[in-house]
Amino acid sequence: MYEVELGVTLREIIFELAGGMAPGQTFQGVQVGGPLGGILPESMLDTPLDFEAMAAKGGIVGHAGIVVYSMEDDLMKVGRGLMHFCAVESCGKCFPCRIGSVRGTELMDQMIETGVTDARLALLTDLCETMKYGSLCAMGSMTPAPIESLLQHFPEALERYRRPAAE
Amino acid sequence: MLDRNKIDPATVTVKVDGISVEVANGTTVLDAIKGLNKSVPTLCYSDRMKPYGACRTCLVEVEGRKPVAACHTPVMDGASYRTASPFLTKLRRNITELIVSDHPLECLDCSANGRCELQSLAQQVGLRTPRYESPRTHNPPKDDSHPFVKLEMSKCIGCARCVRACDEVQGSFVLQMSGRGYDTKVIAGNDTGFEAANCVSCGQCVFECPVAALAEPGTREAGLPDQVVNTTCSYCGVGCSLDVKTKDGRVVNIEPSKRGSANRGHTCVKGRFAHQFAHSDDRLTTPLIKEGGKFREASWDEALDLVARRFKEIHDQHGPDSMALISSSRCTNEENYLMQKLARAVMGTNSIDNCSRVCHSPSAFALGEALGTGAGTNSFQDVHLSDVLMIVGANPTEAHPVFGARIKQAVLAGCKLIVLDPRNTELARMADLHIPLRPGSNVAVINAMQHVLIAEDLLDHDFIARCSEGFEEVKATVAECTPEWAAEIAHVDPELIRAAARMYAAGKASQILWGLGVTEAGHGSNTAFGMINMAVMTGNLGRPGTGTSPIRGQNNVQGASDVGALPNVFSDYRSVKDPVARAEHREAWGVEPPTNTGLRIPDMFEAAHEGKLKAMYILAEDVAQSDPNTTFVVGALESLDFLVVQEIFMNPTAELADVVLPGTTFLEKDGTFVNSDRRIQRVRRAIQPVPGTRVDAEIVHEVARRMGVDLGFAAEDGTVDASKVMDELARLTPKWRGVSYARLEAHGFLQWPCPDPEHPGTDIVHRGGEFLRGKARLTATPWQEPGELPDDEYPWMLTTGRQLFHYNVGTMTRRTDIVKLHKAKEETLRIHPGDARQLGIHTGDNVKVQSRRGEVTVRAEVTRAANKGTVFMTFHFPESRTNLLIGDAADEFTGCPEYKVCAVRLARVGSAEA
Repeated sequence: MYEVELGVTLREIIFELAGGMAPGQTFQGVQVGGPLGGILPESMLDTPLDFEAMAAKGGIVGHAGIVVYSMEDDLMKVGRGLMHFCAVESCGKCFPCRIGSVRGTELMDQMIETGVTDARLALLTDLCETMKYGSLCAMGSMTPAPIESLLQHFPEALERYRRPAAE
Repeated sequence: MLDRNKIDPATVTVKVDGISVEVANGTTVLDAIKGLNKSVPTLCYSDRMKPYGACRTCLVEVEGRKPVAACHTPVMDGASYRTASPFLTKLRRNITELIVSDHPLECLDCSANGRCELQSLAQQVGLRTPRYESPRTHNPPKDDSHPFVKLEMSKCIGCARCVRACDEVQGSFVLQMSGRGYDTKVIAGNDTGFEAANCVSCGQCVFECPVAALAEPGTREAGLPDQVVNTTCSYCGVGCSLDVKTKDGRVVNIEPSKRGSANRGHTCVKGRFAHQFAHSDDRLTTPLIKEGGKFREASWDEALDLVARRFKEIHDQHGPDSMALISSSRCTNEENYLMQKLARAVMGTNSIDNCSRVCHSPSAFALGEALGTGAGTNSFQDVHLSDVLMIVGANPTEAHPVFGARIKQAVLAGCKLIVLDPRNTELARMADLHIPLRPGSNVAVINAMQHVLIAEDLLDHDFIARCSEGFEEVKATVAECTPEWAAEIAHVDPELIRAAARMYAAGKASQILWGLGVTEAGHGSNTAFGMINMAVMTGNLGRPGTGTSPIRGQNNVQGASDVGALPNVFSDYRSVKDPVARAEHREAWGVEPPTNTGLRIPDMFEAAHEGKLKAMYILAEDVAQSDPNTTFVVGALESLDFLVVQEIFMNPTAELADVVLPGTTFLEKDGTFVNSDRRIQRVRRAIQPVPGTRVDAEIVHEVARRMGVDLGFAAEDGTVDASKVMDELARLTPKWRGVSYARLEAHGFLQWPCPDPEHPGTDIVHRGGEFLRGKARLTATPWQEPGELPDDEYPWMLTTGRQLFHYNVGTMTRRTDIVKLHKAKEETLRIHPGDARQLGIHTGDNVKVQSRRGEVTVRAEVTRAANKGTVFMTFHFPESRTNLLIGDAADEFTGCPEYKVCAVRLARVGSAEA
């Protein structure tokens, strides 16, 4: 655990304070603030850790816990795990979170098992928008953030699972 | 709908779709939208429950912010909202898609087809087949075990409207959302099903269900109704507004009307589900004439001619007062008006009465004498404005369930509750103070409460001085009535009486409500006078949330009395001796009305036994079952020369008739009822009269015509125009002069007094302490013992009343599916566990109940709902003949019988297995 001033960059925290990546590992992305935080790519490592700057990049400060993913991590599976986290944690009151988190998990399972298609991607994008704007509390409305960051910053993580629509 | 009491009086200005609107601060965005006659889709929202914000289909855009759910978001000053856009439609469509992904797509096979809120939302937002591939769905089995609620929880969308209706409208807390996340589900009780839970079968859950997870039987088979008719319930005096849905001339189902001013979209199990009696196979469908002790079928002409001829003969031979009429508080005002006009203008007798004689005549008498009008002072909605409610001798959650539910909501919201009742009723169990007084001791306890008010100076001296008379006399009468003295008589703790008086006096708005436990106990008028005294002495009259109001028993018992089906008054309670009223009636009717006071119902039976009364015409009142001392009543009817009974079913009274005329149910006629809080509401024909029957008004009209008098309301084919009857009735009734069908159509209801066509009606009588009789009269009420006391031979007290699932002698309810409910099967003797132990009685044992007049045998139900020393029976089950036991002691002012106080002895005669 480190106490730092607001405004220190992610790069400084990860690579100076924490000592950087373990030997043999390459940085892929960083998720700050818990499972509802967006995953930021290497190009955003100079973002200062403060509320406004993080929000501008699609991240959060949250509880300020920092999880770093290496190139060995399958971000599709990470995203699926985050969606499942929401399904497990959902109180079940509002419809977008209650049903959406289960559908999201199923959809990402299907993408992993039988492939990413344009139709599935469009549906996942719609689902993220629905949960983000429709959910009653921050839980449901922030669950899409890491998924959206995945779609935006880590296309290669999805492309690994891409299958032609005909298959 | 937010809590209106919490809305800031300040207003804010917002824009909705570019239109500026000023609304109260705290208003929801949805209410602001609706105020502009605009709408947004909703599923979990219901306008009479607290907003819930779960379904999110009511999302609206807010300029510069994220979208908000309109239903539960308060408006923000200066904000600009958009109710529709491509973005919103897409969002709503995608939410709907999620819902439908866990919902069976069997619309054609579904009872909600064509009225399903999810189906219409899907259509509105343009949803087609959901895109989600093989979604995990919920498929619990169907449950058809409840007679009125079919469960198909695979269709449940989790909106919790059923749960919230059970909590916020009915107040039974039977349903709950159980589990969490995707596995959230609705359960009844501890997932034990409806019957095991405390379900009262009110049907609110079904009414609220936007899909068909909860559905009522018959609707799936019938499809959409071809007619919806708004009318007023004919069970108790709450006056619930109902929407009767019919198909091909038959009732499919009945739903509460959300526009109903008395019920606000609520009903009880009876009004909602117990309607099959109208189509029952054993309806009387042809006039019957008794010959040689047996009935034979007759034509209408023959039967009506015989009735008219015999009435005329008896009139000519024995004089007008050899005839008497019992009118019906189940029938409309118009029919009651015609009955009393038949009595007074055709037969020439004032001997007409209605069943208010045996229920609330003491209330009407005391309120009339003390305050100037024979009805309750305030309205149902006032219970939400009271901070103290005192309920005396009433069990509204069973006998007036919809009003009872509102009382419960008021108490749950923090209103203090005092209950005086010998039984541990549901409200008694909720009460801050319950005084479990001995039956018959009401006057003693009420006198002691007045004593405490005076002794501890808990009085509104200004109100007493300015608005009342008679204080010194009351003060002298109650001077000796200490709580200790009353406690001896009532077998209660004196400190309870003291605490209750203090609590009542401490309220800013305290209200007293009472039932037949006051009036059907000896000296009922004096109990009513005493409670009115309490209200006057503490200034609790003429303001919102205050007042003294009886909860009337039958659908139109208030109206039957209001329109003059009483032996001493015309309509509006104007004395038959009042020269002004006489002149008005003489002019309207073209005859001189009789001047002598007529016979009251108990006097009619006396007079029949004495041979003075020769003929009776009884309209829809089963006196041989419902009146006390059955043997005496039957003997009286048997001794008549000629008895006409107009009924919908053969019953013990009709069995004794010389001519039986088949009348109609409320579903088959037009008219009006007056409910318990003076609300005049329309009754509208939903189905044609069953072939062979005739509308009761027509029959009365026809009897008069054949006796040689045209009452003046019939068309050529004999049908009676009820609105014309109302016009004449209103002209002759000063407090109803502003009432007409046109106004009732426009307003939905009018509460009398409504003295002119511009008058809006009166929700609170005696506003500002300006009493209709001038000053309120405080009435001294010296204590007297009830007519019936226990002794060594008859040591137990029996008190009688209603239960939720049946109505009076069961004529209607026992011909409906309500009998399929476990709790509605048979009569029981409710007895306290301590008493039962002493007598060796167990639940299910047969017990012989013997009074000084007769004996009956009934199964025991050992329950803490009964208090020690007092047992309870209903009178819903003809075979158990409860009224055989009841005596003929009666209120000294009004003759109201003492149904609630009966000394009995009890003996176990068989075990539960027998």
